[in-house]
Amino acid sequence: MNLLNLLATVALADPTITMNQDDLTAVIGQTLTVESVVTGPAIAHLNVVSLDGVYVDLEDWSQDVTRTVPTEEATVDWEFQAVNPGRFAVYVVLIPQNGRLVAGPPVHVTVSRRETLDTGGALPVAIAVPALLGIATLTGTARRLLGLRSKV
Amino acid sequence: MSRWTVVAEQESRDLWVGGRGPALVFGFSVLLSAMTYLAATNQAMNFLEQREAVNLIVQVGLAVGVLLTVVVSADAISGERERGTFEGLLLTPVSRRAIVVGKLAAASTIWLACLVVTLPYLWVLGRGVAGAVQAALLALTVGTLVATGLGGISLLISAVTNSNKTSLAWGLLLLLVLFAPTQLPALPKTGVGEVITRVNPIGSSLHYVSQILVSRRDWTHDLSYLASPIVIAVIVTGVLIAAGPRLVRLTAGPR
Amino acid sequence: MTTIEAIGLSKRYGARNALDGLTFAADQGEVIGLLGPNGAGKTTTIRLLTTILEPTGGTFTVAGIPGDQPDRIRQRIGVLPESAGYPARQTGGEYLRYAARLFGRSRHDARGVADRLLTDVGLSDRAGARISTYSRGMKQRLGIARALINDPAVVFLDEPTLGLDPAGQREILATIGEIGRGATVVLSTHTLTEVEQVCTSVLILDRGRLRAAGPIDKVVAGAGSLSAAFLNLTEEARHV
Ligand SMILES: Nc1ncnc2c1ncn2[C@@H]1O[C@H](COP(=O)(O)OP(=O)(O)OP(=O)(O)O)[C@@H](O)[C@H]1O
Ligand SMILES: [Mg+2]
Repeated sequence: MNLLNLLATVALADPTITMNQDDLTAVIGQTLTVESVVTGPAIAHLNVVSLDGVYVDLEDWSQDVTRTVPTEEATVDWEFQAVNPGRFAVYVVLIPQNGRLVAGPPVHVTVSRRETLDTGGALPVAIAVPALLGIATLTGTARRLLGLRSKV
Repeated sequence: MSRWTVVAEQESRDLWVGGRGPALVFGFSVLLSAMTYLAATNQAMNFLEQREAVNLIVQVGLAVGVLLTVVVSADAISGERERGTFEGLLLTPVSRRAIVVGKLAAASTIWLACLVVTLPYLWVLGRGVAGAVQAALLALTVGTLVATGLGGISLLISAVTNSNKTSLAWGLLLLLVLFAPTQLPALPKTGVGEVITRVNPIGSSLHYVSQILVSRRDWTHDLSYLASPIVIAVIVTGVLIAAGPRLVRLTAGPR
Repeated sequence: MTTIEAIGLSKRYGARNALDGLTFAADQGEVIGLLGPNGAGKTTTIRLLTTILEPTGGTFTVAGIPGDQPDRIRQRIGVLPESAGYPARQTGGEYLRYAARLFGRSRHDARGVADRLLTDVGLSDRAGARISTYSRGMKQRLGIARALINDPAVVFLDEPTLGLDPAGQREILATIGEIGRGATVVLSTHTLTEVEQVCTSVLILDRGRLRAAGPIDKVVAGAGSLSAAFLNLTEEARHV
């Protein structure tokens, strides 16, 4: 193999992609970041699919799904918000100027439902705190008034 | 024992024993109770995430706690001028600087009281998620920073005005100007909108807090947003200490 | 021993001369009456000597301390300011203890000196009542007690008997007489009989300028009475 051949294979090599995570868990509403290492030249596109078959509106998950990748190796961060509960795969596809698409490995994301609060606890606190402060204020005033009267 | 502590001690007494401190904090707790109740019932209907509820309490606590600090500091010097008690204080050998520091310290007790009152609400709304402790720490650090900066500005305003009404009006106007943009839902997240959020100590603090509490960012992620509250707190404290002797005079205005 | 010395002391507000080149000296134990019509510059003089205002000209010493060391002067003087206000919510005792602590006394000493002064001015039975419940005369006596909280070498009293009934006036004058035994007193007033009763010498000001200074008998001289002398000195200037 001569030098020219070597150069040609490097120059014409397919774009590559690896992901730095393969499994993530999140709570609904949480913002996540996955990191990918890519070599181009290519255009990279983020995608999200549901493994439970629910509909995914990509726009809700991320506003920034398309990036240009340079020839040399680069790290690209993808930021998205977990909008629906369930199991999802997040992956990146590279679209070279010519040739085949290259898909990166999927990152599995499990999104759990929101934590719900038992309303029961909130009400006692919401009543007790002002009540205690109110009593403290009033007794303070009363004690002062009575105390002063007896001294006068 | 340095004399600023004597000033701080008496001014705190005046605020809390027979003063308006207890009533202000009582009102504060009623407001937080209403917010907590609404947040909790809303959440039961699944509209509000638990972390959003905690965030809401931190934001309201911070904004109203700072408001009360501003109200108390606005009275500190102009109020004494108005009541004719300032000359008596100026006639003591206590340095002007010690007077300013003592008054600022006394005003900050109302912020600390608000902070303490906020804790049970954070606890009850944040149970189960690590958010409650985080929220309390954020309220303590970020809130204290904002309260120092804006309480200090209010004290400066009080030093350059002769009447309480003027001083209070300017203090409240300032808060309104700073607070209004944080309530605009459509403020863009980039460009001019971001700059407006970043320079505004209240806007940037609230942004920082909600990034951590709701979006679960790391505490270092948007740390640069704290630049504005830190810079303002440092500058205001510096100005108060450096210019204190020139500002603390019998009457404001030209000599 | 000279306890107050002013040389060319002046205070201007824009174009107005509130005080114009005041020069005088006072010795320990003197009680000096500071006289003059409204706007003559009496309060301005007191505020300059008590370091509340900065002079626009001239120099002074109080209790042997030069005017450029205000903190040290304040440690040695006692003042009843013109139309002083009082914190309505504090009690008389609390007010005096706070003042004593501002002058650097310990908590314990402050209680002692406050109690003693309250007794001296006849307020010990109302020490625990809020100042808002005091009458004008009681407030005035509280103000005098406060002026004495640091055993001052020089005492300035700006119209201490303003608005008091004759009995109240007499009490205050008696107190001033007692103070005068140890300290120099500067007493600003419009009541000339008061001056004749307690003062050893007078300063008569009119529109910022000193018209007469010295022992009362010298100032009265041929005029017959202090009030005649006062009117001569201040009206004569008015007709010019
Ligand atoms: N802050 C100020 N700004 C402008 N002018 C002032 C100020 N304070 C005092 N003056 C003026 O200085 C002059 C002297 O005032 P000062 O209060 O010393 O008079 P006074 O002798 O104490 O009068 P009174 O007997 O009415 O108390 C007056 O003409 C007054 O208008
Ligand atoms: Mg006067």
